Formats: sequence, C-alpha cells, structure tokens
Amino acid sequence: MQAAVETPGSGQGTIVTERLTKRFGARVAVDAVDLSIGPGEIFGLLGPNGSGKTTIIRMLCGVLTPTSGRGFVGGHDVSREPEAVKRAIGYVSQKFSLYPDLTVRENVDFYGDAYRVPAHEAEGRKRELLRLTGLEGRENQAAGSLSGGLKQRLAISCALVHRPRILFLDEPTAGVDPVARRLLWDLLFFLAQEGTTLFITTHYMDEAERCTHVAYVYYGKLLVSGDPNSMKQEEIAATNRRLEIICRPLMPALALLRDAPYVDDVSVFGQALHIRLKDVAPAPPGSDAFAFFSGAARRAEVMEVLRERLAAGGIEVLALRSVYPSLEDIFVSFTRQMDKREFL
Amino acid sequence: MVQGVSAVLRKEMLHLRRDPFTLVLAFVLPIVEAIGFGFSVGPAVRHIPLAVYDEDRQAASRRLVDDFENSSFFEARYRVFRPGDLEELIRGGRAKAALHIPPDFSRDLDAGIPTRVQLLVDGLEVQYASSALNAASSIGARLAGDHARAPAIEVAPIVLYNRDFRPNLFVLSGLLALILTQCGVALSSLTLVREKEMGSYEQLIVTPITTLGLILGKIIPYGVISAIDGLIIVFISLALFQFPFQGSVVLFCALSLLFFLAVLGYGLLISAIARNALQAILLALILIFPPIFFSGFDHPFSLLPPALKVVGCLFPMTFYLDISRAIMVRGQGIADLWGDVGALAAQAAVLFGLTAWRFRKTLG
Repeated sequence: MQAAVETPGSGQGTIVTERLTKRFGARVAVDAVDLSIGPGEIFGLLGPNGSGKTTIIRMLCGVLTPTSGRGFVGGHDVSREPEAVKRAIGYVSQKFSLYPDLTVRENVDFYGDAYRVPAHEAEGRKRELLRLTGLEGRENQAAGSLSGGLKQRLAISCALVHRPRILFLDEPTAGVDPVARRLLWDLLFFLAQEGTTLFITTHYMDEAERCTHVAYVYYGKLLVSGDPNSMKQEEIAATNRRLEIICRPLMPALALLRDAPYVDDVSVFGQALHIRLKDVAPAPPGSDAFAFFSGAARRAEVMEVLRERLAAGGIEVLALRSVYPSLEDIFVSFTRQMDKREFL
Repeated sequence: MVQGVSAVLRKEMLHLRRDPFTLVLAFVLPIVEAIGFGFSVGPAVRHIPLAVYDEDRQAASRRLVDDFENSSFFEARYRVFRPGDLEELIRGGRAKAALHIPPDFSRDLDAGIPTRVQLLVDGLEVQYASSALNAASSIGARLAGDHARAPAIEVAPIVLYNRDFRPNLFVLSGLLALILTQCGVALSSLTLVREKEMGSYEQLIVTPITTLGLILGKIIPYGVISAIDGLIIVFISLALFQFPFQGSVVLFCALSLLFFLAVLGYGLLISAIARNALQAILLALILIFPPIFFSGFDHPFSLLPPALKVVGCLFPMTFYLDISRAIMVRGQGIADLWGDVGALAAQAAVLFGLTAWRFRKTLG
C-alpha cells in the first residue's frame, strides 16, 4: 500500500485521496483509503460487490461527502468544492443512463447544455466525439434502439462532451459482448494516450491486467494497490510460495493438502490445485530460515513432503511445480488473509 | 443555484414531443372532465314531483298549493286523501316531496295562531331534499308575510348567493381545484421518478445541474400545461355553464398560481420519496381523492368534525376552494382571503423545503 505524498493540488488529471473514509451510521463503507493516480493513468478498482467501490466513486465525483479524510480530484477538494469537481470529471454509470426516447444527437446536446459547453464549441466537439466513438451516421437514431456496446459508447461521448481530464467508468463492460468490450478498451486506451485519466471499476481480471495501476478493495479497506506487473514481480521476489499440482482425483487431494504441513491455502484452478505455502516468521539474523522458500533446495524438500503425503492417500501426482501468481491469485490471497484477520 | 434549468427544460420539451399521447391527454382529459362534471351536476332541481294531501280544502290551503306550483320548484302531480298514501308515493320514488296540510290550517291562519304544514322529503336524495326544503320554507315565509298577524312557518331562510339554488355553481367553482390538483400532482410526481427508473438520475447528479435547476426545469413545462388547462376550464364554466363570475379575474389567477405551487410541491415531494412510477401514482391518489371529502368539495368544510378538519387542512384544495368560491361566487377581495393565502404559501414553502432536504438525503 502506498501513501499519498504529492501535494494535493498538483495538476488537472490527478486523483489523490488521504485516509478517505465514509460511514453510513455504524457501518464503515470506505475505510481510510489512500490513492494516488497520475494524469493519463488507467486505474482499475477491483473488489467484490458491496466492497465500497461505488461509494469511493461517488465521493470522488463530488456527489457524496466523505465522513473524514480528504480527496482531491483534478486539484479540487471533493468536500469543499464538489461543484468544481463535477465540472472537471466525466462519469459513465453502470446502468444505461441516457434517455432512450431522445436521439443520439439530442442526448449529447443535453449534456453539452448541462455542462454549459459554449455553442460555438459544442457542434465541433460533438462531431469529434461521435467520430471517435463510432456513432457517426447514427445521429438521428433513438438512443434506446442502439446495441449494448453502442449505448456504452454514447454514454462515454456524453461524459466527454465538456472535455474533462478525468473519466470515471463504473463497470463499463458489464453485460457487453466480447467484441464490443475489445472495441471499448481500444477507445479507453486511445483516451488515456490523449492524456485523460481513467478510473475504472471492474470484475474482470483480464481487464485489470490492462490497467496501468490497480487497487483491490475489500469491506471498504484498500488491500493492495500498484501496477499489475510489479505487483506480480514483488510477490515473486518476496517469497515465491506458490505451487501447482496436477493430480487425480482432485477433490480428495484438496482435502488432504488443506491439513498438510507448510500449506497455507489451497484452491482449485481448473484441472489443477494451487497451493500457497505458509509465510515465514521473521528470522533471527544469521539463520537460514529467511531463505526457506526461495531456496530451491528447501522448496524441493517441501515438494517431496507433499508428494509423499498425496501418495499415501492413494493420489496419483502428474505434475508438481512452482508457478507465478496471477493477479487473481494475489487478490484472492489478500482477501483470505483479511478474512482470517477479521473473523478468526 | 439554478444551473441547468434551460438544459432540463429543453430536454423535457423533447420528451413531450416524442410522447404526443401524453400531451393530448394532458389537454383533453381536463376538458372532458369539466364538461362531464358540469353536466352531471346539472341545473338546479326544479319541477320536483309533489304529492299533496289537503285536509283543509279552503281558499287558503288551495292558495298554498298554488304557491308551491308557481314557484316552479314543485309540480303537484298527485292528490291523495289518506295520510299513508303520501309515504307510499315517496317510498315508490314517484313523488320526491309530499305536502300535508292539516284540517285547521285556514282557521288557525285567520285566527292568527301559528300554524304548520308538513313537508315530507326523501332524505336519501339530497339534491331534491335540500331544494324542496329551501323552496318550501321561502314559500311559507312569503305566505306569512301576507297574513300580517300570523307567521305560518317559523324558519325563513335568507338566501343571499345562488338564489336559485344552482348546485353546479358550488361544484363548478370547485372543479378547477380538482382538475388542477390532478394535473399538477400526476405530471410532477412522475417526472423525477422517471429519471430514477431510467437510471438517468445517477448521471444527472454528477453534472453541474443543481437540484433547484432540475426541479424548475421539470416544473415549468408541466406548470404551463396546467395553467392552460385551468384557463380552458374557466372558459368552459363561463361559456357553457353561464357561470356568473363575480370577483377579480386577476386576483383569481394569481391565487390559482399560488395554489398550483403548493400542489406541485406535493408532486415533487412524492417523486422524491417514490422509488418507481407505481409508488408515485399510488401516493398521488392520496392527494386526488381524499380532498373530495375533506376539503369541502361537495360537502361544506364547516360541517366536518374537528378531527377531519385537521386532515382537511393538509390539502391545499381546502384553502383554494374557499378562495375560488369567495372570488368567483361572492365577489370577495383579497382582504377577506389572507388566511387562506397564508396557509397555501406556508404549505408550498414547507413542501419545497422537504423536497430539497429529501433530495440531499438520498444523495448523502
């Protein structure tokens, strides 16, 4: 987890929060979240439903006032200048939220009016956006008759009509077919290259891998935040504690391994089991315990113990090897650690 | 404060243009209702079928029966010779009123002794009954005036307004209130709910459009439609039902606007509370039906039990009915109406305040 150290007011395309917190009565929906997002970044916010993603977005859009902590969006304080925040950002909501009875052109015009885009700029901007989103030629079509992917791109056009430097997208690809999803991501990459900061919530791990920066929230807490590649590298460098076993039958093996020595966590991954080995206690200086899992010799020793245990249980081991964690592995392990801390 | 009014206004006009059926309904329904209600209430009750049992059979008693007939309120259709027959005719619905003149009627009258004739009416048919009772007592009073020494019937009601008992004056003056309530509540309560149902509300709140701008942008088009409806109803009342408009039209329009604001306040509060259109419609019905009973629409407010008067005061219609009858029928000026004006203004202020507060709460 990283702390926000930048000066909050620095720059148009930035999002910075410092211990941002929202309580609804006794429930803490968002718990001291620190974020720091730079211009042109694609920031992916992940987490299960009800984990506080939408509440974070609403606070950053100036719609919901934080209970404590601070948030700066485009250099504006979300608590003190929500109106300035609203003008600095665009927002694409989860549900289709445009007017189905109005045409494509009328929908874009309405948001142009709402953001007070000057008349002489509005026409050119509208044409540019419709070209960018592939809606050219559909200006007079009713928005309700567009396909899911086109509706989503119309929503993006409406959200960009006032040239915001920051665009929030709340699960933009939910319910959109794979081809439309790919097209949408092409558009998002283009926008990011143009310097627009994108703040995206998603459930899809493959989308998270496309972000330049991801964060995972769980029960209102930010569990992990960083760029996906270096997160994986860090995980590998710190302790490569992951093993993959392909064996038959799978489910008895799962039960056996749960109670096996050195094993912290086992989960099914398709035809294989993924094992996360136990963390090492901070070792006294000079001892070799620190290198326990990273040392290839030691890992071989652990593998042998597990192999014997499975063989004793009558399980045929086809393969047993070290693996690199996926982003999903990392999030799942953070979630489990959190659950153990909270509930055990 | 009001940023976004023009954007929302333009958008609402587009919605209306795409939905011409709603627009037609908004204009046609009130007109049909006004004409239908006006005719259903009908003209004053006249030619009430009357049964007469004259036990006296003297010049004075015959003159009394003639007076009843000449008033044009009654038509002496039946003459009976047994007291039981009077009730029989009324029970059978053939006579709506029955007159029983006692045998010593003319003797008492000549002697100056207070005398009494009996008028039987069917209490179930209120319109007939009240017209008959009122007409009979004024006939009695006139007769007593002719005989200087003897009051024939003690109660002589004095009718100042609506002398010819046109019940449609009472109802027509309330009709505008009813129709303005229907239009105002129905149109305004649904507009914001529609944004919630479509999901567009979530998109609107992240724009710089303010709550006040949104509300005004939505109210203005529907307010204009309702104002036009109001003018049409007034026109129908004057042209079709020869409504004798007594007071100041300008004052009436100004206070109608105030009433309409209070009604819109209710509609907006409903739309802030309701989660979907069905809830909004059910809540709007609360405002459309109970006032018919609690506001003095067809039953005088002053006759309500105290607890129901309190309920009645929750409805803007109660005060507006008072205002419209005072101005339209009695020709009263603003000086007599400050109480009602204050009540309406207070209601409008409270409702708009609650709506704004409720909006902030849904977001926070």
